[in-house]
Amino acid sequence: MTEEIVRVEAISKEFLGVTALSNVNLRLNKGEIHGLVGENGAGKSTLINILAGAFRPSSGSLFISGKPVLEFQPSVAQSLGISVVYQETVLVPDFTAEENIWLGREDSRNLMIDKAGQKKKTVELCEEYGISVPLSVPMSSCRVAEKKLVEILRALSMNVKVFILDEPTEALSKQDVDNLFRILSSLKTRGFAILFVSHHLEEVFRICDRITILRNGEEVGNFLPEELTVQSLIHLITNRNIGEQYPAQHTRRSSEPILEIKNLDNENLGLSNISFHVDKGEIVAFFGMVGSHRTELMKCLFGAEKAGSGEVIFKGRKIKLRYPGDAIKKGIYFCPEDRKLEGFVPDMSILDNCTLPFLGRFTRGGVISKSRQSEVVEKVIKDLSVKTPSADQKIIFLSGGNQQKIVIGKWLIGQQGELFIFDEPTKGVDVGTKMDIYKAMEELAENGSGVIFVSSDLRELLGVSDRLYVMRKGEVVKEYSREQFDQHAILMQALTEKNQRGEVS
Amino acid sequence: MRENAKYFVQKYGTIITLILLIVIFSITTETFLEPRNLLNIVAHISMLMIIATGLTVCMVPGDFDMSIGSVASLSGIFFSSLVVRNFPLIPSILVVLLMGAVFGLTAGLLVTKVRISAFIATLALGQVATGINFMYTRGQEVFGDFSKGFLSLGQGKTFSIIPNQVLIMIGIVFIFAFTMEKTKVGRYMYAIGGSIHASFLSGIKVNLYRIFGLMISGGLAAFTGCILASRLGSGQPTAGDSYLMDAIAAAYIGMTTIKTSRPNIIGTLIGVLFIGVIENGLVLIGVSYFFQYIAKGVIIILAVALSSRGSMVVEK
Repeated sequence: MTEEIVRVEAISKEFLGVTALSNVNLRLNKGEIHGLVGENGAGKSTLINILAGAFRPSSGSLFISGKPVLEFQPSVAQSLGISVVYQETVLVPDFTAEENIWLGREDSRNLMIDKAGQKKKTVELCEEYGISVPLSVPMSSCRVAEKKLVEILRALSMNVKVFILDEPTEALSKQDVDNLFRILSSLKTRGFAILFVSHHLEEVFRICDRITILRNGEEVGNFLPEELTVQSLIHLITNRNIGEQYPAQHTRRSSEPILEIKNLDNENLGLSNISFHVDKGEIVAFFGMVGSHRTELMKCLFGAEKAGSGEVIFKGRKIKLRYPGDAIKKGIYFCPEDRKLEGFVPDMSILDNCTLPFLGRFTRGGVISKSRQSEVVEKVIKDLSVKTPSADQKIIFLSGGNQQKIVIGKWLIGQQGELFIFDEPTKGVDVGTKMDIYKAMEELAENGSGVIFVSSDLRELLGVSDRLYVMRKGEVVKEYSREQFDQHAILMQALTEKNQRGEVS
Repeated sequence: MRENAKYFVQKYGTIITLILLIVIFSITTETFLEPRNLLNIVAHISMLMIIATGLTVCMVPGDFDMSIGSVASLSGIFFSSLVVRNFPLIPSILVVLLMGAVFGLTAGLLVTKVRISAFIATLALGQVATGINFMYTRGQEVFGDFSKGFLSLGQGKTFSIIPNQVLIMIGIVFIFAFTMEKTKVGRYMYAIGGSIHASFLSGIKVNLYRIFGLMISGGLAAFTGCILASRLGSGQPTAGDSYLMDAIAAAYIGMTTIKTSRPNIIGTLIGVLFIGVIENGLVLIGVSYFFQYIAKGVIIILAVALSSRGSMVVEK
C-alpha cells in the first residue's frame, strides 16, 4: 500500500552562507496526506521550492518514483508530476477559471480557440473530481477558496501525481475549509500524494496521515498524528516549554478611557452608529465575520479613512484626524492587516522600514544618521527575537513571521504611543511568533497603553483580551467582558442575522 | 563566489560598459582623450543631466514626466523673450523656474487629486506647453539684443576654462543626490515608490511628496530651457523637445546600476555620461549621422541586458 512517490534524502540548502535547510529527509507516499509544519523561517518554503524545482539543493538527493532528479527546473518538476499550489495564487486575474485551467494548452481550431470543446473538457474535469467552481467569471471576482480549487483543477488537467499545498486554508472560511478537505480526501483515495503545509495545527491533525516537523532548517521528526497532541506538537515546533499558549491573565482595568467613539456613522465605509470605548491598560478585542467592516473602522480611528459623522474622543479631547500622520503625532499607532501591501516597503531594509514613521528622530542636521537608526532597531530585533543576518537585510527576504515582527516593531520605537491598533497581527504567522506578539501586546497594556486587537481567530481573542466587541455588518452589536466570554454565544452573536455569505472570515 | 560575481556584473555592468567604451574610443581615435574633447563632452551633457535629474526625482516616488521636453522648449522661449524685453536676468530666471514648477504643480494635482496617471497628465500638459509656445512664436525663433549675462549662462566659462553650465550641473547633481540619498525627504520619496500604501500608513504625506517630485521635474526642465536658450543665443521653439527621449534613456540606464532597479541620481549621471560618450565617440570615429542612432540604440540595449542578466531574485 505504501508506494513511495517522492523521497528527499539528506537535503541541505545554503543561501550566501546562511543555512536554510540541513540534512532533511521526507517521503511522500501514494494515497497519503503528509503534513509539514514548522515556524516561519524553519525551512518549509525552501523545501517546497526545491521540490518545485525552483531551487537547487546544496547537497542531498531527490528521488521521484525511485529515480534520482538531477536537474532542478520548474519545468522538470512539472513534467515529473509535481504541482505546487502556492499561498498566493498564480492565476491571470482577468481570465475565467476555464481560461486559467487551460492557459498555454488551449485547443485551437482554424486559429481560433475551440471554446466549446474546452468548455466540455472543463465540465468533465470538474465532474470527475467532484469540484465545483464558477467557470465563466474572471478570477478577480472569485473568492480565495475558488482560486485554490482552480489551481488544483489546473494541476489535475496536467497528469499530476503529487500536490504540494502551501497554507491552503489561509483566508478560507470554515465551509470552504470543509469543502477543500473533502476534495483532498477524495484525491487521496484516488492515489495522489499530498504535502499539506500549514500553521493551523488542528487542521493538520484533522487531515494528515503523517506529520514532519522542521525547526531552524532541521528535521525534528516524522510522526503519526496519534503519537502527538497539540501541546506536544507546539513544543516540537518551537522547542519552548509552554504550559499555556496565551500569556497569564491580569487584572488591571483602570476604567480611565483613552478612546471613546460616539455614534460614528460613515456610509461610504458601511459603518453605522458605532459607539465603544477603550480604557488605559486594557486589550479590547473586535470580532466579526467577513463584511463586518472591522478593518474600515480601524482605518478611521487611524485617520487613514475619513471618519464621517460622530465623535472621536481621545484622551478626553474631541479629535479629527486628516491623515495617518495626525494619528501618529497624537500617539495612535496601527498595524495593518495586509502586511505585504500595507505593512512594509518591500525593497527597503529592516532598518529603514522600522524607522519610517519616526524618521525625523533619526536625523542629525537634516541628514539621516544610520548609527542612530541602528541603535534603536538592533534593540527591536533583539526584543522581538527577529531572525535576520543583519538590520541591513531587505525586509522582503525575511520570513512572514519575522516581517510581521518588524511591522509591529516599528510602532514599539514610537515614544508617545498610547493607543495601539493591531488588525489581524497573527495572520499567517507561526505559533512561536504568535506568542511573541501576544507578549508584546500584553506589555503595552501593562505599561498603560490601550490596545485594540482585531482577529478572526476567536480563541486567541478570548485568550488574550479583557473585553470583546462583536461587529456585524458595520455595527458594533454587543460587548462582552472577560467574565462573560463564551465562545459559542459570541460566535452566534456574530453570525445571527444572515450575513451575505455566512462565512467566518 | 559565483553568485557574488553575478551580483557584481549586475550592479556594475553599465559602468563596466561605459569604461569599455571610453577605452575603445581612446584607442581608436587620437582626439577622444584630449582635455578639450573631454570638456566638450561634459559641456554637451550638462543640460541633459539637469533635465534628467528632474525626471529621476519625480520617478523616485513612482511618477513620470513626459512634459519635460516641451516645458524646456517653452521655457527657452519665455526666458529669451523676457531678456529681450530688458527684464533683469536673475528675476527672469526665477519667473521661468516658477512657470516650470507650476506645470509640475498642475501635474501633481491632477495625479493626486483627480487621480490621472502621471504619464497621461504630463503628456497632456506637454501638449499644452507646446501649444502656448507655438501660439506665441508662430514657430519663429526669438532673437534680439541679448545681454552679456544672458549669454554667459550657457556660453561663459569660469576661469576661462570650465563652462558655466558644467558648474551649474555639478551643483544641481550634488544637491539632489544628497537630498535623495541622505535626507528624510529622499527616504520618504523612495518609501512611496516602494509601497505607497505602507508609506501612507506610516504617516507620510504621500501626495505632498509626489507633487514635490513633479514640481522639481518641471522646475529643472525650465532651468534647462534657460541654459539652452543662452547656449544657442536665441529662443528656438523646439530646442528642448529632443531632451525627453535622452532623459528617459539616461534615467532607465541609471536604474541598472548603483541602486539596482530604482531610479537614482548617480545612476542617471552614469546614463547621461553613457549617452554623451557614445555620441561624441561615434562622431570622432566618423560614423555617419544616421547610423549613430542605431549604434546608440544597440549599445544601450547591450548595457542594460548585461545588467539584467542573472538578476533573478533569490527569495528564501
